Amino acid sequence: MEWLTDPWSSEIMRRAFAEAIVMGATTGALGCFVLVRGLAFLGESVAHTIIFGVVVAFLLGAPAALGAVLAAAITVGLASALASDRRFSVDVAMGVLLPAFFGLGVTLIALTESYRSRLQDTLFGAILGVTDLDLLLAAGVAAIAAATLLLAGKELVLVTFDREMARAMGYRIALLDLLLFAVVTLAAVVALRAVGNVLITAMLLGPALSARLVTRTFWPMVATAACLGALAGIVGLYWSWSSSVGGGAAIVIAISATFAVLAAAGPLGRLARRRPGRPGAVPEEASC
Amino acid sequence: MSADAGEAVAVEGLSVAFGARQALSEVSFRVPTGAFVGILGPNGAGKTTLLRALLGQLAPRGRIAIERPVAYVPQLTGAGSAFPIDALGVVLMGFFPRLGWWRRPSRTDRTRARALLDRVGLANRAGSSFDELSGGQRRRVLLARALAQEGRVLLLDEPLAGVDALSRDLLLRAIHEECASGRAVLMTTHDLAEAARVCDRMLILNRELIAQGTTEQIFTQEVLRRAYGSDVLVLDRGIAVLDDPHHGHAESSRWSG
Repeated sequence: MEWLTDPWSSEIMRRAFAEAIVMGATTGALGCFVLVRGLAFLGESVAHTIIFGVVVAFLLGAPAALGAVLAAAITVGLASALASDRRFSVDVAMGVLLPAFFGLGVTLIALTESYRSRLQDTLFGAILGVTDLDLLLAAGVAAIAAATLLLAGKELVLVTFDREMARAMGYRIALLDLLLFAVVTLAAVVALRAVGNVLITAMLLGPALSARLVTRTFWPMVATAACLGALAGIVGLYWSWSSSVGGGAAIVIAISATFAVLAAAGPLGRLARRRPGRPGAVPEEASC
Repeated sequence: MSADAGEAVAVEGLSVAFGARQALSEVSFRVPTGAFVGILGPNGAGKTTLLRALLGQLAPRGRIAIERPVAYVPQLTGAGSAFPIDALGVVLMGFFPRLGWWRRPSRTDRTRARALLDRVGLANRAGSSFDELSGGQRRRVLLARALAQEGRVLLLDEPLAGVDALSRDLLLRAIHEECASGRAVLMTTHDLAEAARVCDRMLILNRELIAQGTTEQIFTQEVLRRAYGSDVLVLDRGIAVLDDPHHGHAESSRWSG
């Protein structure tokens, strides 16, 4: 049983576990909104655009997290402003902003000799280098996410399910959208520490996708995704400890493997087993 | 302006413009409590715009007095069908405005939501995924959600379009029950014959109010031609809109009296 307890004897690993569990659960839960709202591109884009903020913060000697949050806020603000024009969607706005900011970031990195060595951490995360500040940020963003879901969870569901009805009931849709974007963005920024910006989409979407396969309604899906996210963090770190695989990559592979198994047992398996002439449709109620 | 006693809705000189386009001009009408009103007109006539103005979503000119709260059933296109939710969950949404921000539906709310599903003939489908239900069943769930809002006025946007016979009968039964308990119901529809058969009163729109009144009062060649801008056959037992330019194809309908 040594393999089970061994990693916990290391201070570095204890911090890594804390970060992976807290951020896995947080991004897992929020990822359900990202999935059902079709906002996959938002998380991905924010993760890429903030590289610009991180580099600027580094150049100014400010905390990287501050630069990341500011860059994310600017991105989301600009995207919301663009998306308020009927001709653009959030995705289209992000499609414009992502290359612009990412390009700026990469250009700055190319010009900044001293930052280049840290690029690896930004792209792939450095969960074994988690600091007290990182853990504090993770706890903070988890608390904000939990508070948001407790206070406005059902309203966010209503806006997602039926915008027209939410508007008719007098809810401020733009405000609720902004709240959701803001919380998702914060979580994506903080989770960067664990998995880096190339792999962040997997943390947001993987647990949510897996949970969707085994649940029928939204809140059980959120709870399941949070558990799967945390579990993937634990499994990934054990694997990383006993091998030479990087922590962030191991977590993401654990997430993907979970989805692969559930999909094979569920929809993909059904597809493979289905015989022709036996549609799986639910019987319609007879009409008279 | 407030609605007089016995009146659920009073609208006077209502005009709505979207940019340069005048969607509605100078619409005035009154709806008594307990009335079932059909709002008719071709596509683009301003039917949905009128509902949105009554819901208070637009900033129109003119005056609107309406008994609150107002319950609403949007066109089905509004509901995201892939969202993981069951029929009961959809009905519970009708309670949200009353619950406030952090409170969740109580056990009593769930019991009431089940009773509402029962009223629309879906007592045994409470746990069914919304996206597994047929179009007609979904509309019944959405009506049950509107009933949960306990509005004094109920606004329905095309509730009967494309539903099967059983769903239509159950929807209409629930609507008539609402009217009988003193609530006013306003329903937009494309179907002249259906409206003539089931509604007490009708408003015919084509960016302005063409006519209002009971079926006998308004189903004349002249009124329908002004509304639809095409030849309309008014027969003893039915109506046929011939070559409706707004639909691009001939459309006809009958009612069986």
